[in-house]
Amino acid sequence: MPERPPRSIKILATLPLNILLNGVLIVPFAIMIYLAFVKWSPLMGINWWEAPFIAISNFQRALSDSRFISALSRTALFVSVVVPLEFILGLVVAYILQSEFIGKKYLVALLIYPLMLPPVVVATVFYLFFQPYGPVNNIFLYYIMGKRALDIYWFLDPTLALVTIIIADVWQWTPFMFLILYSGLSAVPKRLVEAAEVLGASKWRIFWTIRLPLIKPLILIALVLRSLEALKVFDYVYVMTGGGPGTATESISLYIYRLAILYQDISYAAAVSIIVLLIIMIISRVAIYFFIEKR
Amino acid sequence: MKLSILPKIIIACVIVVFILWTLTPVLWMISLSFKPYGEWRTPHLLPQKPTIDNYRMLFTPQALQIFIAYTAIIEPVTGPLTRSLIVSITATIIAVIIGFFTAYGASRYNTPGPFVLFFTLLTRMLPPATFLTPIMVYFTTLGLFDNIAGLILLYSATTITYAIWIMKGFIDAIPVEWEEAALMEGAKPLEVLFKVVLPIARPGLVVSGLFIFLMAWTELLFALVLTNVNAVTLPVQISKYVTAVGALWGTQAAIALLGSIIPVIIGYMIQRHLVTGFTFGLVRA
Amino acid sequence: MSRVVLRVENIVKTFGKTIAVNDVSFEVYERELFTLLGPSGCGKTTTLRVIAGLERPDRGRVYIDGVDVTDLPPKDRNVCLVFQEYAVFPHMSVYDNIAFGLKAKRISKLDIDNRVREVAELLDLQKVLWQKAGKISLSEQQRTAMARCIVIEPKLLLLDEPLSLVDAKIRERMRRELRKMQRDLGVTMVFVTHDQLEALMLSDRIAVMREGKLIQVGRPQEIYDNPINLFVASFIGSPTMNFLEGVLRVVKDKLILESDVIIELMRGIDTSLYSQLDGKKVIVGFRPEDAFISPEGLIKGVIQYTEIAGDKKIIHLRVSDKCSIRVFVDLYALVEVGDVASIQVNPLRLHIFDKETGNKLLRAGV
Repeated sequence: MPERPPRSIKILATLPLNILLNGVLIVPFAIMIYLAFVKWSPLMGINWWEAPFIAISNFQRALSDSRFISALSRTALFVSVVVPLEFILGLVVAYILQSEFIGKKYLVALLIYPLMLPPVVVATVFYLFFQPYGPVNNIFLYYIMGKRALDIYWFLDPTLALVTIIIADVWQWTPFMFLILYSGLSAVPKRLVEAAEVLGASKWRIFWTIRLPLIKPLILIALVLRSLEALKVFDYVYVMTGGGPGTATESISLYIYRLAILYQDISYAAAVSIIVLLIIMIISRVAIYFFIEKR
Repeated sequence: MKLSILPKIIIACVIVVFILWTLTPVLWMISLSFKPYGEWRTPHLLPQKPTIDNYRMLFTPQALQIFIAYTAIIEPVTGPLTRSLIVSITATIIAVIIGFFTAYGASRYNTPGPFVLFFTLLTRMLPPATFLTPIMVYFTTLGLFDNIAGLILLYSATTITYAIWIMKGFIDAIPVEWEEAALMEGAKPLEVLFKVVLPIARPGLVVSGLFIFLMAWTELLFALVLTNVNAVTLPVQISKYVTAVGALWGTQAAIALLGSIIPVIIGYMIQRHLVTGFTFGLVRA
Repeated sequence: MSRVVLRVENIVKTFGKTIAVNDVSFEVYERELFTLLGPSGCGKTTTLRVIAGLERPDRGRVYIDGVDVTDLPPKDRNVCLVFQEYAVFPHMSVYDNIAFGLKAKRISKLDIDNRVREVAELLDLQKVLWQKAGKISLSEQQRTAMARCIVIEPKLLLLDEPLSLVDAKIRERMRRELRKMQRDLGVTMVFVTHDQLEALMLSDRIAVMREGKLIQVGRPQEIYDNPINLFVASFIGSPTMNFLEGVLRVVKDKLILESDVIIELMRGIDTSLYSQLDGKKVIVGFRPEDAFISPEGLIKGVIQYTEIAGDKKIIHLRVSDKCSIRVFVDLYALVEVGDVASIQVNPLRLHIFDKETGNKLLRAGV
């Protein structure tokens, strides 16, 4: 293909995208930066472009905002629990499903449907699931603990509430890990596996020394993508616990949402948003350097 | 030889546990949605007196007045359902069209360049909550608050990343020679695009389109922020049944199920490409 | 008397509706280089995989060193297979590739190291020992694949067309090296190839296969001199054997072929032996190197063109509309296109095949 695109293609390929992204996302981004340096709330009665300038007050406030800091650390904790869990579970299932058997296609199709559900729905499902008279208490734990099981209020205990969110996320997204690992493992050339078989390696050894190493880049992509998604957790928290009890399960997304919608503290929300963005950017930069150095 | 049966039993057990783990939540929800009010707290899997009252309530929520006084907020489920459909379909069309052109330019001519492409990835990787504040302000000022058009525009912009990356993957796989041959025979670039590339790239358009539809349909955060009464989409309404209405478990189950039918159908249609979608075309199954 | 290392008995293997291997049986002796030869799709690779244990036969048994291994997985058979595409583990070093099979056995690290280095030296891999196997040259990959197998000292070494991916120039040299190595190490080898020249050059014995069936087994010389049927006759030998089709007639002491013209093949035959062939529809074959120009030649033809082949010349003669033959002549022979030449065929090297079945009717040399 020629180096330079013909004019018609060039316009088609760049103009609509520019209009869309600039119009819908870039302009608000600029507004966000503006908002972070002023003090504004719709409750103040003035237009946002007339808001008074307060320099870095919002940012200073954020750095000493304990609720913000705990939301950050809680979200980080959430990610560091959920992603490894999903990876290990996904790996176990992918390992088990290595060999062929009848109905394997249907089994795989069955196992991946949680991915397709709207997160709201999953949140609703587990909200119902963990009710005092829901199946977790009423059926599973009943057999173990008897009547006492009905007194467990999952959403009223700070730790248990967090557990329910973790379970919801793991339930929905383990199939993601599984699917990536599974398709990667299936793509390993059959010859290599046969060569290892002939040389006397057991299935276990083949899995760990041949198949898994060959899908390392895939694993990396899966972990990174999943971690980034897990950071955003909102739907489960909003629907199942509302951030509670108190603020015990408040994720960073929920906190920002509340700041903006509930407290209408717009300019502060903007500042908090910017800080979160910066943190993520810095962490990604560090991660990229870390991995490039490993090469 | 006898020893080799034991691992097989363990494996079978693990598989069974996994199947149960995967199925139980939804089975419970299905059963709950058909249970009458009195049975909501029972541990039985099957309703003893199955009823479709829960579903009926979704369509005629006036009956909710018995329970709470929030009825001003809750409308029949047909409203949000249709709105979700309209929003998702329109956003998909816009995103796929623009995405197709962009993907073609990026694949064949490096226009837009890698920097822009990476930037589009950013829009998807950063938490949407961090954008929520200015978008709310901006859209309200533009009169797009509580307006379907606002949601359509927003979803188009946030999902276009998928369109571009997935379709670029499909277009990259098409041999360039065919287009070059057509160009040499005097075809205009636009003709080449529409007559040579488009027909072959159609699976890519379908896959990315369905995937984007899925993303748009299931989105909650921005929908919560940008809608109030008029533009409420299905995810918002589902969340309202839980947060605003309270302990109407059967009905909550019913609406959650309703909201899953379309996504699951679409999910199984693009089953083979789910991985490709979620990883922006980086992983091809 | 050599020991039988491998015995393959009545192996049948089908894939869906295709019968890949159709009742194949043979034996391989200790230290032998045994070749499965045949065109693509003849079942040779499948047979090899059945021996290795990568495929389970539908019927038949495999015995290695007298032990029935048919139900055993590859790792319990003490064999090793070198794949056509080498299949080295690209993410591991050459060293780790070679050591791979040894690690499964209980050998000390020191022993492993010694054996790996020994084999690496044998195959000239010392320089790339620590490089990733995915990044070395094809030739080095092939040697790595071989080293991997040799180092575990299997009872049987199986090779699936190991030289087919190699450049033609290097192939010659590698064949010789392979043969030498096999002899030096005393390894029993089963070799699969579609290249008949390669098979003739390398093997102690050849098994010719076609469409799943074993056609002929024997030493290279035997197969060359006495092909059991038309297929083997035409497959083996380069340039291909000449074939003339027609009805055989025994007239007094002459052997005559009635094609579109009358061709006299031989004089002074033993009538009692040949009379049974009178009137049969046959295909007569002889190799280009078993015929020569002679003034007493019985077959006459017009030279169509000549070509140079190494240190000889090949002349293409048109005997009749339906019959054309090729004959080797001396490089400096005075022959020109358009000349009429008389060809004499070595009577000991005339092969007669039944036209219907393709089978040899009379053993050549009689």
